[in-house]
Amino acid sequence: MKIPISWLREYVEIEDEISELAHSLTMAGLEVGSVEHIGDHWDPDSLVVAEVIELIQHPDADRLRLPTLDLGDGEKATVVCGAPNLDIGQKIIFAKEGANLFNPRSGKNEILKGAKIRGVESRGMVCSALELGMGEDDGGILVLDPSTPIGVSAKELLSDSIIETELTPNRPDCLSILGTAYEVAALTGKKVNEPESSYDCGEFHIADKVKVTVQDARNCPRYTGSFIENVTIEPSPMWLQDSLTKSGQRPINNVVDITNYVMLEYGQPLHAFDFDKLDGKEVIVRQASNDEALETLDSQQRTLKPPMLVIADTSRSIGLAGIMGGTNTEIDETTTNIFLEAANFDAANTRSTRTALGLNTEASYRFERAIRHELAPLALKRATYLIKEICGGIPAEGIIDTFTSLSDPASIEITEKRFEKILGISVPMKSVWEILENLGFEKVEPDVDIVINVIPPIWRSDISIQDDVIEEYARIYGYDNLPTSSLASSIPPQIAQTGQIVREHLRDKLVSAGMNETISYSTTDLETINLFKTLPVSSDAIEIANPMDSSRSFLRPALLPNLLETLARNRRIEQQNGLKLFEIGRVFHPLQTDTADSMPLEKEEIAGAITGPNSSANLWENSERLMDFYDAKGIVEHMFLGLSGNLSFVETEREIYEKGKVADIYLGKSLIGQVGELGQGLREFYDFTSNPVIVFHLDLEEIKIATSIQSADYSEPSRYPSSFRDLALIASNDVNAESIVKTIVKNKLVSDSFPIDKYEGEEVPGGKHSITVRVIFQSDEKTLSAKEIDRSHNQIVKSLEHQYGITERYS
Amino acid sequence: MLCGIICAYICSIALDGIQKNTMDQDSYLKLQDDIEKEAVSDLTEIASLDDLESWRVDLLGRNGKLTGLLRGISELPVDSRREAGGKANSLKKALTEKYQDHKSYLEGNSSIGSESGTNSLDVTLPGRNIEFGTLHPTTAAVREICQVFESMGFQIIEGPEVELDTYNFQKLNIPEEHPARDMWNSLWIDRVLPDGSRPLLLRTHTSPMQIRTMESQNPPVRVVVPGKTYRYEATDATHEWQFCQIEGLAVDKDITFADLKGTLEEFARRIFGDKRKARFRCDFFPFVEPGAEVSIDCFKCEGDGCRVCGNSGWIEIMGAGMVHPKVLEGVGYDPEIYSGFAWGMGAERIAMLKHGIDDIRQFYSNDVRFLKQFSQ
Repeated sequence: MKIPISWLREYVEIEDEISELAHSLTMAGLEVGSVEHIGDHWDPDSLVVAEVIELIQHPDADRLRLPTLDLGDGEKATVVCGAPNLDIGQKIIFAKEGANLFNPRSGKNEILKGAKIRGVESRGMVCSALELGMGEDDGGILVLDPSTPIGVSAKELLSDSIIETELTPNRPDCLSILGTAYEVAALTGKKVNEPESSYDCGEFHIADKVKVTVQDARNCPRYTGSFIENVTIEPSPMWLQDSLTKSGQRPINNVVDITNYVMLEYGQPLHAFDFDKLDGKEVIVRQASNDEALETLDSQQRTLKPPMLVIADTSRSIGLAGIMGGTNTEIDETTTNIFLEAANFDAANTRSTRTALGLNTEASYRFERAIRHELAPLALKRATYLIKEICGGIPAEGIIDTFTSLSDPASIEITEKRFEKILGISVPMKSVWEILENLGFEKVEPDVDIVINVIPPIWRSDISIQDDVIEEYARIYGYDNLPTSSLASSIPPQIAQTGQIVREHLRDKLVSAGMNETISYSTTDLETINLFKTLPVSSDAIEIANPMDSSRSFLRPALLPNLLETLARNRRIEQQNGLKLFEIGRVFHPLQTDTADSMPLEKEEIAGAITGPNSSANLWENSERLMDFYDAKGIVEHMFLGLSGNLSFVETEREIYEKGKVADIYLGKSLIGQVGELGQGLREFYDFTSNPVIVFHLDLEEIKIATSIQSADYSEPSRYPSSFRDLALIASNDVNAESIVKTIVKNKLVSDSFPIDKYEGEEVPGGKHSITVRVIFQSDEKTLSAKEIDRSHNQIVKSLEHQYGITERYS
Repeated sequence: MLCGIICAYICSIALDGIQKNTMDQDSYLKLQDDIEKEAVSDLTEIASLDDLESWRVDLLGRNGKLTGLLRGISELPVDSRREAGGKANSLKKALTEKYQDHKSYLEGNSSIGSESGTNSLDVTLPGRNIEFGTLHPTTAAVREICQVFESMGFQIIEGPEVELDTYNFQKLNIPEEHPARDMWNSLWIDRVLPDGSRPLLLRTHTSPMQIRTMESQNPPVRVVVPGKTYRYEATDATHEWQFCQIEGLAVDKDITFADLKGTLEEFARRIFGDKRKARFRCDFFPFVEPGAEVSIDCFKCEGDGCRVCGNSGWIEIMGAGMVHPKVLEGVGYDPEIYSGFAWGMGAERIAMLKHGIDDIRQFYSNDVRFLKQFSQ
């Protein structure tokens, strides 16, 4: 809310610098977002109040006139002015040459220079609000109150500061100047001066003029109204318009401006009806009927339904309760008799109505934050007083007030013990009371120190329990002044989160394998779900009712599509280097049950994708190689180092992969995912045309069940040297590397064996492939002799031949 | 191993080459002396690797002078072979060392330093690539933050990303149609119950885990909950609709606002440096009372005011407060006995501050040029 300091000063004395005040308010919970200064660059000598004493037409321009101005002390000036609203007798702000003004044409502050305009010398100008930096309306010059003395500097008269507060939803009381004044008073130890609101009334009673019936007291706990006859509708006086403008409201006419002014003053919305437009001299507060029509003041036709609350007369609705009035009873220049409303409407109903209608107003904003009903009669009387003073007219005797409860206001018991328990410091109740009193609290029984029953101020709707009172004390005392300690309570027993540990191990391994971690949005679209067939039935996908946009309208049932999208985006940015990306995150599967508290199944997955050269171009690697299946497999193998369970890869066929280039990955007996080359169709879809893309995706939930961190079992290294032989073998295509190695390592002198070369050249007969396997011979008991190794070698070759018909290439 | 094989090979050659002639010990030693002097004086003249190689072959090669000398040991009388052989061997060793030293010297690898010649290294060339991967900066921030709290005895737990309205709002003292709901614009799941309400949403904060934790265990409680959260919000440089939040909760018999201040101040120092001061101001969250916003003095300008802190000297890092008695009651903890504090912060915000990232949208653009900047 925009709070002009000049207005705030009417209720509370302010001695601090505005920046200090803003800081104190912020620390105490009323955050000041910005401070705007009006007129801080004005020179007191060059911007002064003047009176228009003569006004003649410019000889050479129809739209220009030549006012002569009395600047006081006998000083006069004649300038050229184009403003249509200029008139003799007006008090205006005159800018002399050298004044610093806002130039709407250049959009900057500039120094005013004398000029000849159509042959007439003009040294100075008559200012508009815009040129003074006070408002946005450039319809003409700023006309001051006729009582303003001539010669006074604009700085003295008009300069001001406006603080803009950013309110938390619990403080509707600070949606008002008075509420803010109470806050300032509590922080600075000052008292608040309540505004004047007592008025003399005419010799007729309101009960004889109008009847009010509340049919829905739950949604309208209190309705107050006053009646004023014979008012004159005209523009508001300058000070009133000025206060509204600075608070961001547009002045309309005196009566409407007063309702807005008092709303800003008290935080209580008000509405004035043109009483003569009412049917039946009765105001009824009731729920709208189905499809009831109402044209609101913004000229929109609204279609209402229960339980929306309306203000009605005997034949139709005349306002949307707590939100906006209707055009049918709007105040206009012919209005003479006014029915003024200040009521309290239910917060939740106001909120659901304004949400349904998409109509957020100053009034609804306040009501939905649950303002106190006690404000209604106060604001009503204040506004009635102002209408009588400003618009003339005679108020009826008495007001309408439907509030009947006579119960005492709720009090809260506060104890030193509770203060200590929450704040960690023993606070004397005497010091607590000092702060509470400044905040406007009242004591139920005076002079009791240990236990006090306090009543929160009538403008506060956010204080209902003792801890709320403790916060009041703490925030005014200053959080930073409260003590600090470290947690001394006992540390609860920790439960090993084995799943997290395995996941973070895998994440670290992926990074150490040179992969870059990505995090994508948890959403996808139906097209992608169908493309990847990640769900058996795409209608099982979980849809978002109000998505950010259509491409994010479903929760992702798989991680891989998002990763491929990320890969494609990076491919477009970076063509030359290889890409190695992965993501670990949740995927969402349909609800398993259909009860009110059913939730979707959330599972963690790991997806990886690699493509392009295996290393970025550099000095030392002279051959660039495109990454292939075995790079991806290597990454997967690397991930599971340090985890229990055996990893195995079994050739398979899967939807999104290239045929013959995909393996199922097993951890022990659990199928945990696939690794393989992305199929042609998807490669084209994502425009990965140049290089193969190898992807893997793993079900982290399966992995968490199948494995855990494994501490390595030590085995003593042999003391004797090892030797090796490389066997170049020719095997038929259906014999894979794993089978060959398994056969070799069965030999008891072999400590290890692994493929080191794969050859598919002309020398290899059809249907066969050549593979070179290194065999490491080692014994724990002795250094092996050449003879022993030869013998083993022969045994291996024989068993390979016997088992698989494998021959040595160079035998 | 390869080295061992080569050595064995050389030895066997030497053994094979033994010749059987005779010679007296003095002339043998004289010959040894002469070879040494000549070799040493020649070596000082040598300025190229080629010349050095000839020198080596001439002395130590298969038909070299010294090799010949060694073979000649067998010509000596038996009783003097041992001494002569020992000397010849130490000469061989000495000359081999001299050869190595001179070679290093010529290659510009000498510790004495050398004129930059054709054989010296260009030390400005890049070293051989060690390929490295990167953690996403959000993950890295989450880990760093959680480690601090873990060391204070907090346990890391996680919770569902799709939540029930009950947990995301109602049990956190945010009833339906409460204006505080505007603080968390929600993405609702398209599921409507018979009463017309939508029960599921993408969680707008990690706070529902406060409830789930307390419902499932008795005090004392100390947990930290990192996780993805979602808001129906337009994105800009400081707002993302998806981000990572880290929630914390401590509940026990004697936990006070002073503990809240102490714990979170300690956190701020561990993350942003020992000199940091924390500032607490009153703020509002429906599930805490009193509520606070925690700021640190700006680490960039030391509180003088700069772009990072928006000229205020202070940077907001999280919201916090004492757990609201209604929340405690709701989970069956007696608020007369138990009290506690909770906090919530954005992992990306902490990462942005630490790395000087000025646009949160970078985090989910996943541009590798961004990701690769955060090597561990």
